[in-house]
Amino acid sequence: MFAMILRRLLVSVTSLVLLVTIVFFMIHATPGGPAYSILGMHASPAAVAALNKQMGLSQPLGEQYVIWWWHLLQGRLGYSYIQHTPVTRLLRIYTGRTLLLDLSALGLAALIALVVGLVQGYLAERPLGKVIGVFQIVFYALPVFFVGILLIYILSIRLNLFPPGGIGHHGLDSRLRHLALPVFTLTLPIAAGLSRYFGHQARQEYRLDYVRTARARGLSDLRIALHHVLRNAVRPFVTMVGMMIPAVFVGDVLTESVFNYPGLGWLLWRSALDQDYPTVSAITLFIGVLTILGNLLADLINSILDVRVRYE
Amino acid sequence: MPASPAARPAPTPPRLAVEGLRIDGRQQGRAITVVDGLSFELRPGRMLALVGESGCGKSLTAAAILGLLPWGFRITRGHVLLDGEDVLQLPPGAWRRRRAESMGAVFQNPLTALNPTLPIGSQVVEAARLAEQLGREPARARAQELLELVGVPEAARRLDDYPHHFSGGMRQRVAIAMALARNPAILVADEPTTALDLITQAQILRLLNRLQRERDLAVLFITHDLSLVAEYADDILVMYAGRAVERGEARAFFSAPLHPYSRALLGAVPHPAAPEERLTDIEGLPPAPHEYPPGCRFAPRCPRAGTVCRHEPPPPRVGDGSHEAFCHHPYTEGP
Ligand SMILES: Nc1ncnc2c1ncn2[C@@H]1O[C@H](COP(=O)(O)OP(=O)(O)OP(=O)(O)O)[C@@H](O)[C@H]1O
Ligand code: SF4
Ligand SMILES: [Mg+2]
Repeated sequence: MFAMILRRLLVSVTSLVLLVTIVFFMIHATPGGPAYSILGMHASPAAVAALNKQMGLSQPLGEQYVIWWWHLLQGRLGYSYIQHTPVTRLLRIYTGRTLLLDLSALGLAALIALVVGLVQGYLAERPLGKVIGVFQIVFYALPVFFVGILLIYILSIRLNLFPPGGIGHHGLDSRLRHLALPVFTLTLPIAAGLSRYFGHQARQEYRLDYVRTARARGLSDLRIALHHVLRNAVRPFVTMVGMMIPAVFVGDVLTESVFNYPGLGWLLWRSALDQDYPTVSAITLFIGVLTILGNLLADLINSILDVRVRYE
Repeated sequence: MPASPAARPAPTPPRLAVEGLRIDGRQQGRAITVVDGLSFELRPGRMLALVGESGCGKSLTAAAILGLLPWGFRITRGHVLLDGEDVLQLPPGAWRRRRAESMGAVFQNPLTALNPTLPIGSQVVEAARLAEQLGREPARARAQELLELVGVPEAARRLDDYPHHFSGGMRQRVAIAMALARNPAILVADEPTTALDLITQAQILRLLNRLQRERDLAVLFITHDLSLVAEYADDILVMYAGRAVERGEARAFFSAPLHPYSRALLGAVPHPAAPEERLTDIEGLPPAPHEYPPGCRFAPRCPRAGTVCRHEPPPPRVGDGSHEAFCHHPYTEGP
């Protein structure tokens, strides 16, 4: 168990180092380097050289790489020349909103997936099971942009039930109403993907002999679903939820853009348009770290679920 | 062995009687009849061996009486009488309760027979605990008792172990204990030993035989291996392509099998009386349900097939009074 956690931690740390390195090289691989993006494509070579010197970009790459690490470890993520503020300050403002949106969507999607998946596993070959399968594919494939705009058009503009965007300011009610459409939009494809996966998992489980004997012994369908099938199918599902995090963030960028929801995804989108490299790379790093942590957490949950079974 | 039926003692009434069972279903969009006109009885203290090649409908027969037919499969004709009561007429909930009280089931795969995430003790008595509202301690005591009954060594110490701590044979024992937890009158075992090695197979059969005698259990034992059950079966039902081809008392069956298919199956078992007459394995494969031929379904593979066989479904032919075969040209002499 302890060795397992240690192994997982090692994997996570390795992924982190790789992530940081890749982001570093991504920045330096941009044509002309960061200076051009700050000064514009038509900047004079002298101005570029001056800025490079000022930013430490004229030093050898290896040295810059070490400095890059040194700054990261101190929590210095750079300075946004567009927003004229340290990136860490931007992260402080925007992260909370994104976590609220993404975690609500992921949690809701996981819950929906568990219920739908169990039902689907139970239904197996029955027509209703197949209908659910079709809906999963459709919802999974629908672009977030399309769903978002459709929802805004129907529920905000026509029916005036929800605000079309923003985050709201006055009290919980307003905030929740602003959150509703983005959360729903983001939940839909995740729930579709996760429930398809879990439905498949549950179906495999339902085929096994122990489920058949449980039925023969007269256990109720609900008990079989919760006490037997769920118990066994949930572990790969937890891993899957962890692995969804990057996909959630991709959906988040789109959702936040459509709903003008000022979170990290929105900031990333704006910063990319503005070629604000420090901000883009900081968000990339930050999301990467969250992903690695999410997967680590999923592994830990699994090993805790597992301990009760395999306490060797 | 008395030769005439009149000399035999009056048989005890069957626990379960299946009459003219027909099961229809779908396979790749085609309507198929997988079991047709099947009848048999399970009597207390006796083991009926249901034997036949892969795909002949053994498992679906078991599933039908256990109420576990896969979706798309239905009993379309016949009766299932449980202690004389036609359970197919019962509302689903009542039938389900009756089944749970009176039947236990064991299946083929020891690796998946038990829930890997639950300790075996709690699994074994789960159904009994729920049905009888047993408390924790009585439930544990019952679990221990059941595990001892099926020969799990040091049962008391192993109640909290998980399935992966047990060998395949031990897991099947636990599965049998689980099937017996509510003290059923009938045990359905669908190839419970097929995945096990020969020695373990024999042990499990001995165990079933002991339980059957001690508890007056009516056992339906499904296998494709006649030699496995030769020693313990009281009655034999041989199926081919969804139909019964021969059935009756095991002793009479083994001493003078009537049907060419039975003989072919027995060919794999060297017969002490006439080792040189061992039949080789049957040529060809059994037909799939959508291509069952008219007339005798075994005709394409049968060494004795004549013209009548290809057109007329064979009638039952009585052997020495305690078994019968469905065949136009049955063997009438011993093997
Ligand atoms: N779930 C199912 N869906 C479709 N067809 C099935 C299903 N289960 C069984 N069948 C078909 O019904 C027929 C009888 O199957 P069954 O499982 O009863 O055979 P069996 O005698 O138990 O064979 P085996 O020795 O392989 O277990 C076979 O042709 C099989 O392909
Ligand atoms: S009826 Fe004819 S074909 Fe069928 S088993 Fe008997 S002899 Fe063979
Ligand atoms: Mg089978």
